[in-house]
Amino acid sequence: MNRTHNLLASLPEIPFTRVLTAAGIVLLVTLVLHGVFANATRCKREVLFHRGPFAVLVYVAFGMITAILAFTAFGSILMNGKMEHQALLLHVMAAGAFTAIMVAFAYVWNPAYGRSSEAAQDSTEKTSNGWWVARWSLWLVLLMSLGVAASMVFGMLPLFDSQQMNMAIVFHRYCGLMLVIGLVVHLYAITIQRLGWR
Amino acid sequence: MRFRVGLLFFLIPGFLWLITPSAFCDEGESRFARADSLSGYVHWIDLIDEQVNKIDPSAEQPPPYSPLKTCGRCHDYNSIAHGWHFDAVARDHNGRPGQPWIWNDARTGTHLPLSYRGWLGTFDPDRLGIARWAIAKQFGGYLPGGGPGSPESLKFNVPTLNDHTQANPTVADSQDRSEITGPLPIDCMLCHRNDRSYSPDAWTKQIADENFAYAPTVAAGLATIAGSMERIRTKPESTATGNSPPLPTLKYDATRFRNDGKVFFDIIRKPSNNSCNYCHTNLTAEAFGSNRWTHDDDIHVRAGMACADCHRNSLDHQTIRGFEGEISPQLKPLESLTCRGCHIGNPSQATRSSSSRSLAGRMGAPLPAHRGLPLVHFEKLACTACHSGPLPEAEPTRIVNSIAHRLGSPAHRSSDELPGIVAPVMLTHGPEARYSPHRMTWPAYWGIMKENSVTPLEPENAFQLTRTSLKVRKDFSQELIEVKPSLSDRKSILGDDRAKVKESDLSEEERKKVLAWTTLQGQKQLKSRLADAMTSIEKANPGFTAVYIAGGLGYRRNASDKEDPVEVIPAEELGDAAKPYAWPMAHDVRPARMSLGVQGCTECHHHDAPFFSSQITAVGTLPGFDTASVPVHQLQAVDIHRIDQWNMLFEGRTVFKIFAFICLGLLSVIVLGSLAWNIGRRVSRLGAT
Repeated sequence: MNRTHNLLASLPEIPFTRVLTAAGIVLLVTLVLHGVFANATRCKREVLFHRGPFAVLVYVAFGMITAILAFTAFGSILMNGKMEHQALLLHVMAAGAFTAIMVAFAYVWNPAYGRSSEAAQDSTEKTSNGWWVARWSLWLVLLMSLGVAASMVFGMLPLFDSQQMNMAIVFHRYCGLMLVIGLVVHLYAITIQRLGWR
Repeated sequence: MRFRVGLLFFLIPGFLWLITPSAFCDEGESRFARADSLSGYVHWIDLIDEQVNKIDPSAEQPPPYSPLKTCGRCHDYNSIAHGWHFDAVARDHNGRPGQPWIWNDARTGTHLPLSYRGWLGTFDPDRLGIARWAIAKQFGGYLPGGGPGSPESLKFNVPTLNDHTQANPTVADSQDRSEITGPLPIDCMLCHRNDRSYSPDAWTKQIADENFAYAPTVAAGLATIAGSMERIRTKPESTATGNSPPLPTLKYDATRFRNDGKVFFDIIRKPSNNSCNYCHTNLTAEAFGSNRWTHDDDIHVRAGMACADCHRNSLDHQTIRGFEGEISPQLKPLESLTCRGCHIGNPSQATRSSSSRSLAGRMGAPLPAHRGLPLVHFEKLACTACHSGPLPEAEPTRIVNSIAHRLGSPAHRSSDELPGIVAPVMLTHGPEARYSPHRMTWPAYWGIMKENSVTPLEPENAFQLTRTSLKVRKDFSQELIEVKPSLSDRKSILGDDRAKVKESDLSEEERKKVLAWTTLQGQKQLKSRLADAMTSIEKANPGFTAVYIAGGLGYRRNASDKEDPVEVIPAEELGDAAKPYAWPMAHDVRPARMSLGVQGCTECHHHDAPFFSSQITAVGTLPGFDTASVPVHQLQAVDIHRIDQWNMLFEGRTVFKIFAFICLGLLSVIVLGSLAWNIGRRVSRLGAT
């Protein structure tokens, strides 16, 4: 417990801009390399499972809101070193919409539904959630959404003192980063599956 | 030979170091002995005069005692004399803007915020051509001595920097009476007295009477005085430190002297709050006069602390002001004696092995929880924004201040007295631009303008130029509108039959008629006299336009309109000449439960919340004239539309919290439920295989 506390306490001292930059570079390089590899070794497969228009709408809305949140948070931090002024205002406004859309997203895009027990038995199971990367990135998105939302909602109550609030912000920040990474990976995974590269 | 040259190379700098004052600043190596006991030293001491003679109270014309020669025998007077309270003219470490000296001349409606420290919005007395001695006389009554009245300061030849004083180079010279009065001595007892019989009011009165050298003796109650240096026009044969007529005469209280001629000085090392409060009292209009009993002191004082617990100093008397980022002249950071340093500390210095470890919690300072307060508030707000001064209202309240309103002496005062100081005005300051409450005042002065640049007139010169036109004896604001209707006027107002009726016998309607007439004529008279005064100033300063600045606006003569001979100068022509001066305030600190925001976010995040919307109206000197008035967000230079958008977010915050909780609950059920189901399914599948 004490070690966890020390670890969390030490997190704010790591410049978040460095973490952001490193995460961005690693993600980009990994996806590009994988894309090149997947394209080179592709064997056209049939996509059996298509989501309905409502699910696509929810996905697009969730993606757009997350993009706004990421841009206002990480973009502002990278440019100004902190969130303030218009970026902070927009972030808070978008957070309200995120709260609502995340429930719909979790319900519609739940990875537990994407691979039915019947499909699991089927050898031609390759649905849009069929690849393990897509499934696990989706789990990551949902869990991090929970983390992001919980740290935001509990932070609005008179529960945390300043030190705990600081830890909540660090937690919120890293959950948000993981959420964005998860969503990018998921988008990449379903895209290359649609292209038939996987 | 080479060895000797090398030796000199080391010896000369060493000798030079020894003869500099810094060699004596280190208390450990000072030539002055110390008692070093926490119990303090009991001061039965000889009174020594300026000529280094022991004072004999039974002498026919005994001189005043000299604090320099009396206290300086055992204390490092030179180091002390360059501390914060004594170095206002030094200009070498000015710190953040503080309270200015406001030069008041009620005869001309002049209220000029002055400072030698270059604080933006104040006027430099040297540049205005005000003699250092005149500053010492005007403000010395609320200083512990020295400063502008110190011997070094009085040697300074006030430069004639502006065009006006170049035309009148004798202004500053004529004000300097230091050859008659001598310098303003530092009176250690003003701060270090434990004796309640010491009278700071007597000190103030003696300074006003120009009895500079006599003030310490009289204020301490050691002697009574007869006479005033103010009446002496030519330099006496001996200076103020002597005792020959026409100098004032002292009569010592012989009972204060012991058999061996020593006198008991009841001295404390750490000044008491009473000493500080004589010069640093600030009362709100609500807590003024008979409402004093409703006023709570600063929470720290209530907790038993003294001002000097935080605002402390070493022998050099560089008193800590206590704001964040303050650097002492020794370049030591002083963060542990700020609000944040004492209550929260610096977590990065929390290791006890470090020599600069955090001293949070010293003197029992509680750690504030600030539960639920978003951390952005600590970036945007100084501690004082929520915890200090009067709570922000739709309009800031008037402040009555020791130095500006000369508190401490018995007088009939009102909280509306000029100069007008208001508080709190929430403004940003410092490199981190945090909001904090400020006190604010508006300058009022006569000046000359050329090419959109206004130069204030030296106050005494302004009086000489305007006195004939203004015809004011004491109070500019009152006397300029005083009009008494003549009999013919009364006939035109009330008719021939009622013109001679006594004021008390007039009907309500008749009184209203008379009042309307006097108000109208008063305004006419005011404008006419202002215009006449401006004409006088322009005659003395050809090529310039005479202006009067008051209430955040500027006025000039309007020769083309005889009905309205004074006009407002457009803001773009006036520039910064009428801009207010604001300085951060830190006291009185309110307890946590009375802090701003304790009742919820909407105390500030609401379209009506005074933090961003209070109306700041300038206090003027011209009765019946409008003054500048702006919402505080214009002074804060914030994007009010963004603030409004924030405020809208807070209007439905409670509903949003409920909604967010429901969403969070649903999300938890969906995500954690499906995750558990998924794991269970996998576990069962593993079990099956």
